[in-house]
Amino acid sequence: MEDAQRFHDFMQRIEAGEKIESTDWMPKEYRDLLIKQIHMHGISEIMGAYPEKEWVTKAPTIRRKLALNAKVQDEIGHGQMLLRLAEDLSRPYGRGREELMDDVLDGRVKFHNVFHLEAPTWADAGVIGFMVDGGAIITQAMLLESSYAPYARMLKRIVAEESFHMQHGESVVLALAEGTEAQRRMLQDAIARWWPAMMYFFGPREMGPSSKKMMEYKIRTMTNEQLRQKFINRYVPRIRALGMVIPDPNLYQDPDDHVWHYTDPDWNWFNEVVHHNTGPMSQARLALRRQAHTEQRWVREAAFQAGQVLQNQGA
Amino acid sequence: MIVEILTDAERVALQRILIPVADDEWILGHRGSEWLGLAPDLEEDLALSSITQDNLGHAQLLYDIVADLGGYSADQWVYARSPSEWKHCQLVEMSRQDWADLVAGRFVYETFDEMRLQMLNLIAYQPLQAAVTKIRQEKMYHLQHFESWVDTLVLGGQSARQRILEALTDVYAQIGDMFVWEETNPGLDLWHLNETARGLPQKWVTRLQGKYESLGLPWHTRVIPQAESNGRLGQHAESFFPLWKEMTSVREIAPLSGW
Repeated sequence: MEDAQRFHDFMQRIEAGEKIESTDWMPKEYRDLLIKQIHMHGISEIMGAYPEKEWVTKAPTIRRKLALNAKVQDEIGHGQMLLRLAEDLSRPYGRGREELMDDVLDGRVKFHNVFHLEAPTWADAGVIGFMVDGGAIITQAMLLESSYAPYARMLKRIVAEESFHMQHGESVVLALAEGTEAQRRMLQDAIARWWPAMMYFFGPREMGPSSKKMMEYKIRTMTNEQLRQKFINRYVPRIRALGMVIPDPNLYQDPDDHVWHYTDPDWNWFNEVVHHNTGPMSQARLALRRQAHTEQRWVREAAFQAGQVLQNQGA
Repeated sequence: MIVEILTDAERVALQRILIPVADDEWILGHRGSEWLGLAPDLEEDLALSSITQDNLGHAQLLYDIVADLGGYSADQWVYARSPSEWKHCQLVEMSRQDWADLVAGRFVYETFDEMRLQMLNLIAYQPLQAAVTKIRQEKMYHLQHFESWVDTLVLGGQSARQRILEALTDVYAQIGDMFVWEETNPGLDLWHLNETARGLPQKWVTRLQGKYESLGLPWHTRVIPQAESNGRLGQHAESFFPLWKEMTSVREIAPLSGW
């Protein structure tokens, strides 16, 4: 079949709301957009482990330590599942796990802005669960409708786990809000730190060409601004109910059209951080990933070699 | 006969037996959590963090039993003690090092711990027996996991083999206090466990020798080294103090508040 005809048929399937499986024919552009999205998503899950893992060793109760350790484990698990999906899609390009992971260290794949930032107090560990995982749920709930069936299926499990993470974060945040003056101050400071980052989290008001293409292919189904509005609408009452202040004097909801108005984050600064890994913690976190991936390559090689030996013995 | 209620003397004795065991598991779990995101690949990260979760959970089970016998709550056992009140052995407090060091340390510890748990199972106290049964079920996988890593590194080429051999040798020098029971002796008397406890080192050496021989590794007649300092008496390596400080740093901000 001619490529033009195939493309036409493919788009008809997409427009009819059909789901695409990994074994189906797909245009190169669709495959590349999926790789870009899923690779970035997977790597963000993995890089997201670092700001929180710092707090597992400092968690203030047995229960919190167990919960946070489990949460970080879940994030790595999501990263692993998503990378397997990205590996599968990347097979025609001859690229596997090693290459996809090298891309992080060589700056060829971005990760979410929030994971470039500092998490200097226990309250940050709570707020990451409460607000960042809460934001991720909003984005990922949209992706449940994705036209790429394996991604949508995987997200079902991921969203279910993220909602536990959000509840864990909320529970940490509630304990702080009900605590001493020092605990409340710690919480207020953390919310002030993460609010602008969450405004950036959903992307620019005017979406870039790849995001628009992803909408056409129904890989995603909502605009950046729709997602951000959903987040603000959900979190303004939650944060105020904690007795905390949102650090944006321009924040208000238009009573007629219910649209939230907000102060723009420093788009240029965050763009620079995400594109060039120049955030306050970007390099430190990349160094941790390098420790795991590069410095321990010898272990993976040894495992491969041992596998060969055992296979030969069995043969 | 398995009992659910202990005498006062038995209560104190059992607390003394269990605290070093719980401390070993807790500190192991704490060190394990330092590996989050740093294991050689994502699959191992998941396996190791799952083991860490188990270790912390085992400690919690045991602290809960101790707490039910009177005194501190489980959280107080973890957060309200000074460093010299901790009774874990030195092997488990080792700072995070190379992957081969982790594998060697865990293999050596889990081999020992399986024998220790078998011994604890002889104490006819129902809550403890239930806990030990659960712990042993999980521990079986931990031992298998690290034993298979030893095999992998031994078979994984000259350099990996060299690394694991050196790591095992280094670890061996640090196990002096692992078999020490000092403060728990009265309890061992009460439950007639003295002889079993005295036999553990030899049993463990035999098990390790078997492993070395099965892998074709050189085995020199080994004795358990003398402990230079004794974790069971609260004497810890320098590396434990930063760990303790870090572990208690958040709670210390408001020790009496909810977290």
